[in-house]
Amino acid sequence: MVLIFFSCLTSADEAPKKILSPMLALSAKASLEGREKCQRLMHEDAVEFQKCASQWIAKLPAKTNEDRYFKLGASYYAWLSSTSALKNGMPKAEESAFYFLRIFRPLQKKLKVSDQDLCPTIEGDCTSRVARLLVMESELQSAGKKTVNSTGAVPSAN
Amino acid sequence: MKILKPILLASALAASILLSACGGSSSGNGPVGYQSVRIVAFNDVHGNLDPLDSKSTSVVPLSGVPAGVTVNTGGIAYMGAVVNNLRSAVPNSVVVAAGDNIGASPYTSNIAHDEPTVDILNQIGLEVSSVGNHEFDKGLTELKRIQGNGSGISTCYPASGNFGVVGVDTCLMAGKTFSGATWKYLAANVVNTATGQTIFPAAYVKKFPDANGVNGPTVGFIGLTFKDTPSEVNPTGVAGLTFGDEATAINNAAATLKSQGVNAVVVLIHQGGFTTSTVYGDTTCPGFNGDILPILANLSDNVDVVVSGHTHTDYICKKPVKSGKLVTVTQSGFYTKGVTAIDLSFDNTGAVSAVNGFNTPVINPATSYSATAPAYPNGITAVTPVASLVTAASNYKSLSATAGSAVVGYLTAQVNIQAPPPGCTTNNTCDSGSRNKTVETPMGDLSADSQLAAMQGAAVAKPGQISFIQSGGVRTNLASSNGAYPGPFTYSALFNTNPFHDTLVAVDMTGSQIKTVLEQQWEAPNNTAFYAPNGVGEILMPSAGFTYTWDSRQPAGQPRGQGNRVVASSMMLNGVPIVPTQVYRVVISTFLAAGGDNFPGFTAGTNPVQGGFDIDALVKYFASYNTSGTAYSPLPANRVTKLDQNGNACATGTWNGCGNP
Repeated sequence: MVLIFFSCLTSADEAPKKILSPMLALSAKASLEGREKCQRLMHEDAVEFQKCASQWIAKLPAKTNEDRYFKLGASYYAWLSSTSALKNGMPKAEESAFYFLRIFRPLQKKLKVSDQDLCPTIEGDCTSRVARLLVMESELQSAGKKTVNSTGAVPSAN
Repeated sequence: MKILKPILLASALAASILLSACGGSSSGNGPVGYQSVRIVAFNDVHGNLDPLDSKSTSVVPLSGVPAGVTVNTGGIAYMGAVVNNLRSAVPNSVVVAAGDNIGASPYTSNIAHDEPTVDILNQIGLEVSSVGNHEFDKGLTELKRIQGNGSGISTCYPASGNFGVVGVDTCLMAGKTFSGATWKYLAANVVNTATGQTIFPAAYVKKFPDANGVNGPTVGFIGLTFKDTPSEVNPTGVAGLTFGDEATAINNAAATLKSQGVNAVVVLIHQGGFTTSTVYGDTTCPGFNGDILPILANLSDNVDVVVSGHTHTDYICKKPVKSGKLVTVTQSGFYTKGVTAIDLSFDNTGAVSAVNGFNTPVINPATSYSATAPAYPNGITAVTPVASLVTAASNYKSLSATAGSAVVGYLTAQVNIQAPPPGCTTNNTCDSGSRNKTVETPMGDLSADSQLAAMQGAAVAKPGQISFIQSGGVRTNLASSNGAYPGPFTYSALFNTNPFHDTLVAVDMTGSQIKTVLEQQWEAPNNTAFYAPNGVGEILMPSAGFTYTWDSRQPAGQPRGQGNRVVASSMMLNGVPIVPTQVYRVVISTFLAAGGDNFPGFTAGTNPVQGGFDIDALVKYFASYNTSGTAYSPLPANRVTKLDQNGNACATGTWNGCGNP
């Protein structure tokens, strides 16, 4: 018998939407754009999704502050989508999640955006999401783990 | 009433699994005639029998641990146990599926034409299922064989080549039979174009008993797959079939069911969505999106529940149909990693009064049926697998090993990949020391030839002209099974050379786009993603007839789009120069078509038409080389020419010591 405690998460659909700053609204817009471009590719594994999102993100400009907030939203979305797939054991989702974590986390810190402010740019339970983020960040900091290759290239599936 | 009491207790127990933490209304409080019904659902099993058939972990919830906990999940014998647990907690239940039960299956099920999966899902008690796109992978005739004719008469896989051997790769049930699925496939939107009839019934009705064992609620099930299925399967698999609009098919069938007096309408659809939740079992449905949304938005009020699939994730949602009525939309995950329970309650008129759904992860104690259990945190307990299903899965695994020993063809010599040169260390740069990915190889050329052949012929509307396979897609040498030549090789040996089970696709590309892709072999980041001490890049190997030259005097590692190693004038198809503006039909894997292995140039391909699997292409190719007298001879790997530092051609097989890397 499986004994699981199912915690009751607050429904993002029902909860009042947090008013986003104009800059974080750009991040939210980027997440929707990324979803439209790449989400369908998260299917048999995360490889095609990662290719799609990484190529899109790589082409995004980062000259202005607006650019950087947009890129933050795009890479945060890609991390979240990968992490969401990871909960179901999607092959290569872990690699994809760490790949995008390494992109969005430095940018987030550079822009001085807190986890609590960034989270509402995409619907969902922030308690579990931020907790998962911190777990992954800790794993990333563990020596020798979860690295992409030294060129920064997308790891190969084959 | 004395019979009612234990039933209500059972229902209350079932409801408590969900309600103990979340609160909410109870199910199962209707009068005797309409006691609750539990629908136990899963989707996208894809022939996964063993816990290690796919990535074997999931992130599940645990009180006090908001990030969730990573545990081992999956395995059909464990899933069977979860199904049994969910069913035993209630008096009325039915097991349903939302498609892709078979197809794109791991080796054990695949080699036996998914008969093992059918047998085990029969044992689990699956009663009704929609078709999914992968049910059409091998065509309608094979799907009809899988369904069976309902009479229990055995129908083996038709004998062809090395397949269709009774007791080896087909008719593996007791007594060397295969009587088909005991569940009913539904296909409300899949019509035989010639007859105008659906290929399977649109709906299935199940009448449940009340507490007295007589008239209880009646539930109607409608099954279908997504309209765009033909774009995602082998064209020959859906020839002669028309896939109609999903909402139209559902609404028509639902109206019919309602007119027949069913109390609830449940849709089983192989289409789905995504949420942003990060822990399995979420019931709040954040950020729900995907192709199922426009279907939901056009459904009539007759629908009460939508059991979905295809997107390989989990959710329990409440979403509006056309009128604004909220219906429950579920998905359990995939690859046997989770099971959905949906409790339907009815009021005293027989109308649906409540729908409560929850997902249960299939937590296994180990990564194989015999491994030692890991220590999970308090609050998480693994399920005990159904012993008979463990036996069945293990038996099929043994049978598949035997079937894998079937001879597929003959060789005059070993067909090689290129081993790394001396000094190549066992790290990522040398691909774990198993291959040198920087040179054209006979095994790569053979793979490309088989893929091109599979997308040619009269049945293909736009036959392929050129095929490419990346060196990363070819994993090992192909050798005879007895070490002698000419000698036979087995299916398992062939499978190991191309183990990714990629689907093939033909796309239109211009000559200019082909050159762009070829340059990406040495452009960044492929120039350093994989290399050997004397080689650079990841090579694309072409099919016979396509030739070109690359110049090692030109620099590797140029930014994308700026490489200049391919000698444009050298690109030829059957001796005719490739024209930059002319369109060619190029056959590749869907992996490459998506830009895999740093070949984004392939994403420029247009008018894609999917074919079958790479391994099937190889098997088919060797139909012409299946005797000692017709043995296949490895080709010299001379379709690509490398120029050294003086502009002279390097001899075939000497690239690593010739010219610049």
